[in-house]
Amino acid sequence: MINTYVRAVGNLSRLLAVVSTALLVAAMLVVCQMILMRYVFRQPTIWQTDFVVFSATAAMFVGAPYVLLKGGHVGVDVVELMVGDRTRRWLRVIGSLLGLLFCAIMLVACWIQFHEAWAGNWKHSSVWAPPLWVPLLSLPIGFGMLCLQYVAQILRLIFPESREAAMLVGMHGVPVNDDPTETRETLR
Amino acid sequence: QTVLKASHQFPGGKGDIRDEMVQLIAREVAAANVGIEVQVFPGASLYKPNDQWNAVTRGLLDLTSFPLDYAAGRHPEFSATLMPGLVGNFDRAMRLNDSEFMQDIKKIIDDAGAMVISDAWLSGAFASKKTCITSPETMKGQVIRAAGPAFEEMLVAAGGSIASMPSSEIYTGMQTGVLDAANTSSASFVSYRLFEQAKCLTAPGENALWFMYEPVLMSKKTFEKLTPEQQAAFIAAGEKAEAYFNEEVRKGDDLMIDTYKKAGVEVVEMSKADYDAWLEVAKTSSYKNFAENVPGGDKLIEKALAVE
Amino acid sequence: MSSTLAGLLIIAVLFTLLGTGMPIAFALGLAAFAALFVQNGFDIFYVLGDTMFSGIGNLAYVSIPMFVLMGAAVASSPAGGDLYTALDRWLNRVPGGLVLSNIGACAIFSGMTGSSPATCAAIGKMGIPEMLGRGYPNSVAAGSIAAGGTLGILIPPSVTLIVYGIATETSIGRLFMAGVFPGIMLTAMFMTWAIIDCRRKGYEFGGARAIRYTLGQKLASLPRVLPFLLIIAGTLYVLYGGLATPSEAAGAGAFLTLVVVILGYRLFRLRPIAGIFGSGMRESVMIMMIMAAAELFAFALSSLFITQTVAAVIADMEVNRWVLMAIINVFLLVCGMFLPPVAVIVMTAPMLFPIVTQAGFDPYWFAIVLTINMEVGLITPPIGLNLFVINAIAPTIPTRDILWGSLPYVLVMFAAIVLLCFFPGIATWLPNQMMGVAQ
Ligand code: NA
Ligand code: NA
Repeated sequence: MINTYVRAVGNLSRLLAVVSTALLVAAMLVVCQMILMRYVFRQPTIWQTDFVVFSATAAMFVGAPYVLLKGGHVGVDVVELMVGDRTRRWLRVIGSLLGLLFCAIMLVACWIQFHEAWAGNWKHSSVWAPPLWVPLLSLPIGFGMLCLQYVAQILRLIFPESREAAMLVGMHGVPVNDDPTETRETLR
Repeated sequence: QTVLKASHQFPGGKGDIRDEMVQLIAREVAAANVGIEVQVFPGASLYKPNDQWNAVTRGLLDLTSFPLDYAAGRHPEFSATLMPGLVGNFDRAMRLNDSEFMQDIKKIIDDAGAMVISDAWLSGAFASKKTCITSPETMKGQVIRAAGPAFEEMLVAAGGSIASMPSSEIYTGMQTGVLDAANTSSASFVSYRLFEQAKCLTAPGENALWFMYEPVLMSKKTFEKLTPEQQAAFIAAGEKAEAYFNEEVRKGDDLMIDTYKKAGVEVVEMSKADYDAWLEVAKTSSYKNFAENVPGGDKLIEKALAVE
Repeated sequence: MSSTLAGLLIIAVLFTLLGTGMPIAFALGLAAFAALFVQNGFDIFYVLGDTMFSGIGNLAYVSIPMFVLMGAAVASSPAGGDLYTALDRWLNRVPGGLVLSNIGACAIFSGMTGSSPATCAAIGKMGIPEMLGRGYPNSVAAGSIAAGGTLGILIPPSVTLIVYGIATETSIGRLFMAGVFPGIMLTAMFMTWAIIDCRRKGYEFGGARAIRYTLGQKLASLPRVLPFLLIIAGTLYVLYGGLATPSEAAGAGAFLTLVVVILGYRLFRLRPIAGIFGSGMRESVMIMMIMAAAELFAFALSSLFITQTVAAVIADMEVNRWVLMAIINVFLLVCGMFLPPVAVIVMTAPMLFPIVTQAGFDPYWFAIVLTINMEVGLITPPIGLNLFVINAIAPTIPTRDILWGSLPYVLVMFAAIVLLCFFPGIATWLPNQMMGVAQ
């Protein structure tokens, strides 16, 4: 049951990571297209700037759950290193609950904002004037998934899989793969 | 002692006229001795420029000097307050303040939850390092950074290319050649030292295309909580700030012209014929889009143009 | 409640939250929320999303993921190793040549990425095992890479200079230029210390010199460096040749780098390409989440009038301007020790900038001093991004050795700040020469 939930949430986060990467790549390509249009073809660029900003910014929020899954959000581990194993585990549960609290608060706030933009048909004030709810949708998606991901993490901390008890879902200093820019390693 | 918050995006304590307006209101209200202190947060040190509208209408922010066009995404009618050629010159701007056109705009502000305590129309200019921007033909083939979507639409229609960037990058943009020209407020033309890059300045004279409405807004939620004396103090301070602005804004244009002439930049103005030609371009581009996209937009423009 | 008390409370809450080990981004956000909620009640929910989204939703900030992507492209491919090999072949006969080629490779790599951890990872992956293999002491190997990596935010392009430029409305192009000579100077100073350190630790250079490369081998390594020079030249051309603004140049640079790396190393399979984008995305998200949360925290500090109170206290101190600068430096160092560079700049630059310029310091010079302070923070505990990276890529080196190896470089950076104070021209000469004197 728990396993299924953890796996499903993990896969959803991975899917969003693909979306986030695609948004980043799209932003990169559109920047290049914009430079070409302006300086080679001397054409006006109307929608590109808005697109690039919204696409790259949305990518950051949509990608956040995956980074949490991979333990990539940097934290301070001074206290963790000073305490024993049992205390450390509880410290991690508390840290995760606080993280969950923040993400839940942001989910509510961002849902309000998204809903207002949707209901009020707000547009970005520019020539292209894209509807604001589209980029703002990334906020409730990102924070909503962060909440689910945190729940998965907390479940894993409280009910560790018997054999892989040490593999605390890749959080807090357990390298998931060998990419150093991604994983925070504890300073032993 | 009630503490109220005032926010704007302009440099603080450096003589920027919009900062001075807000500071003046803070001083006046303090001097009125009605138990109110206004904390001024200049230079977007509290809210981002665009976020001020949401904050002031919700009562999280009490006062702001706000370019109304920034809220055009929520209230498309506000685009009319940064519409090319709708104002023309300062004297007409003053008459516009009491017109039916501005009554419509202020009604929308009011319904959203804010109120105008000082009117302010800011003038702006064009500068180019290629050819002087006078008639629409002079725009052809120039890459320009413009202030305001309605302006961008008109400039594109005249054959220009748009490059968008924050005003702090205009200098580098013109220096490296990313930009041929720029359009922004007179104050920015001086403070960003664009005279070092520009060859020709189109100053706002009798026929100025670029005017922007940047009133001082107060949150209605805040205002309604105040005592009658406190309310009166704000109204009086707002009027003083408006009078101060109207006097100083013209000096600002003179300062810009002096600075550019001293730096050896050619300074020109648009003729009536140029202005009318631009209006024709605007009518087929920005005005047309405005009328199509904004309910009652055509009426609003008619009302503005009808002002003597 | 006075602003001072509120300030102390919010800092205490932040430290308590950080103590649980939760992500810095969420700790900043939660502390900010607590303060704002106490001040404004439920209304605050209406501006939280706005503040975070528009805090990072800015064309100039888009350059951060772009530069990070550029770094990831090189770091996740054999390119870093090739650069390093080429330098090693040429510097092999110089005493301590291997350390020099590591620091040199870090400096060159810095020219392509705006991120210090990326620089550290790309060169360290190859450089640390090689140095250890040739008998260099642990602390020398780890220290030189940790410190060399910090050059990533000083030598342009630089993520922190971009953030500074936006926060203070100064020109990013000009900031980049201001970083060039201080970057070269600091590289040279690092190299000098590396040699001294090797001697001090009694490392014999003779052994390294026993390996000889023929001229042919040396020349053969050069074409491998060419792509790097092409990318740097290409990005510089886009940046200063009038094609694009710094933010646009970042996008073009990232594209260029990806094309060079993918074609040059024939990475036509999904796995390596996904690896590049994956690690680029992860690091970008990590940085930008901290920045977005730092915006929220800065908003809370400002809303409680804490920023303004602190600024007023600093500004009202009737001290010599150099004493003022010293105080500011200590303040920045302390912030930098606990928080990542971007967060520190978002929160402090708007507050310090007016004070510094009013005291007659050049804003571009100050940006460089601030950046070197942030570099120090990257290699000091408790949060030193570069230390984390070294720990991950060289698990055999004990943390103690990493710390002791890095510490002297902190002193070298202090020396660089002192030099900059005596000779501000090191930072200001190039931008003034190329773009005219700033106001
Ligand atoms: Na760099
Ligand atoms: Na640190």
